[in-house]
Amino acid sequence: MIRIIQSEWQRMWARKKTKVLLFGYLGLLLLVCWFLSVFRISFYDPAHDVPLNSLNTAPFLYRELSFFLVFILVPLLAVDSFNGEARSGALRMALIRPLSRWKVLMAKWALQGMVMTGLMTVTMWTGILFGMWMMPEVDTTTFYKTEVLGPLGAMGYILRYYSLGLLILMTVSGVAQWFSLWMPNAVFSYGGVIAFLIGGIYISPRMEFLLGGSDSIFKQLAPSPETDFIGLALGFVIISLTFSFLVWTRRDFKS
Amino acid sequence: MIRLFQAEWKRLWKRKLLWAIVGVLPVAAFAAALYYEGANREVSPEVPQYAVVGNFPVLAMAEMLLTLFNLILMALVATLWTEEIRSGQLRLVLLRAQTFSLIWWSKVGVLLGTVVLLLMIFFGFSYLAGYWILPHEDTYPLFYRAEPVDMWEGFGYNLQYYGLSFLTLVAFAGFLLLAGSVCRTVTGMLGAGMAFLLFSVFYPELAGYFRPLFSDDQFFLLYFSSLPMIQWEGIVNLLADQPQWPGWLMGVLAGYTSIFGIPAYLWFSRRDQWH
Repeated sequence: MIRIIQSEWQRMWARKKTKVLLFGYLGLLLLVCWFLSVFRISFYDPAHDVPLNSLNTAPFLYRELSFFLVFILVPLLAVDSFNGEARSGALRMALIRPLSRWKVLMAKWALQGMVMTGLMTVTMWTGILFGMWMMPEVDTTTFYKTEVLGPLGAMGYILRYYSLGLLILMTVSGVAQWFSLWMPNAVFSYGGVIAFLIGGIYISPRMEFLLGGSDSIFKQLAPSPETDFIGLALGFVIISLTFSFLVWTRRDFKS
Repeated sequence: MIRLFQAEWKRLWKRKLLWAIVGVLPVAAFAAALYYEGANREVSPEVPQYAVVGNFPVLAMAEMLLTLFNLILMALVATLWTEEIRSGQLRLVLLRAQTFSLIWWSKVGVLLGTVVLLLMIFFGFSYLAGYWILPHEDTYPLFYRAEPVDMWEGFGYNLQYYGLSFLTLVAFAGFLLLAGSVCRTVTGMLGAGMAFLLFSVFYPELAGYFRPLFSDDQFFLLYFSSLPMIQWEGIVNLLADQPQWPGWLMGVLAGYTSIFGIPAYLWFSRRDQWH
């Protein structure tokens, strides 16, 4: 199993796009840090602004970067892994080996999960350390409508915030897998994901968490939650992973 | 040339993608009409945002240009350029005695022709959706215009609006053509297009934070150097009674088209696609 994941990992980095995207992401991360250190103010949502301090800075890195993550990075990684490989023929080289289909799929899931978790962890720790280092020193802080939190409480909040951020990315990635396996054409799959992200709010306001990720997370983490997207997001993840599994283990990739 | 154009046209329109796009247009028009029917309750009939049959094509387009039509354009360029180059379909064309530049121009012709056709389809469906769903008024106000217009004058205005929308799509196509000729995969090209759009939306916002550093005119010029901002607010400004800086806006559109379009043409026509 480890070897299959290694092989996935190598194939992922063999694509120049991956390097551009991930290093581009690190560049953007630094840019956002610089940006926040100049202004020292950010927003929970368009109506609520918040002065930054050494404890509450971390979530706002994700807030500024979520568009790039949700619209470009995560869908492209998923579409490349699930659609691009099958089309370009790179997948055949892996399927030549006597491997069970489901193991290859598990490796793909593991890799996507690792990359997304890694991204979120890097972002979170950059945010925490950057806040402590650059922002005005405080002992207690508050987040959107929460009570006053100490350093540990703030860390707990940030951790929960980034876990929900990861859940949103997993939803997007799951939907991107679903579209990639459903439609053979990469144009369709990527366009479908974007249409799903934007068109969702026309269907139901509950789908807002895909587009305005950070605002929804803050509302979710308020003491009396103003929104509840966890169930819906988990539902999307489960449905799309089931669908991926069913298609993946049955499809004939030779043709 | 005509035969080449016909071949391109047929190859494009036999794809399911095109028919899916055509199928999406009426859905988008009716969804926008339903949305504006709800939004009408919030605004007074005296303001231009109040949707009636006459101005609905413009309101619907303002909403769909930035999202749906940019996406459609990306899909079309990805299909016509990247996909065909990479999948090897282009080789079948190149077996014939054709030059790259001829193929390029027939592809550009097919792309623009398809976009015009899709705009016309959307125009028709938005009148239809408005006629069914929205209130009918004899005269209605327009953005930045003193005099209200009647149905017939409004029709002319709508045509101009769609014409300018087409020009903004041409400018965006300039960038996409470069990305589509250079990028090795369809996803790369789509990602580049999306990154261009997000970047163009964000830098005017970013500049908004540095607002005191600019004079009003400088800020205006900077703001409307971004393509999506022209699509969002620039077109009604161009059609106003007294448009501000119309030359700059048109210049920006021409600039995007040529700065990206010409290198794309040179790149496409220079490379030897057999290898």
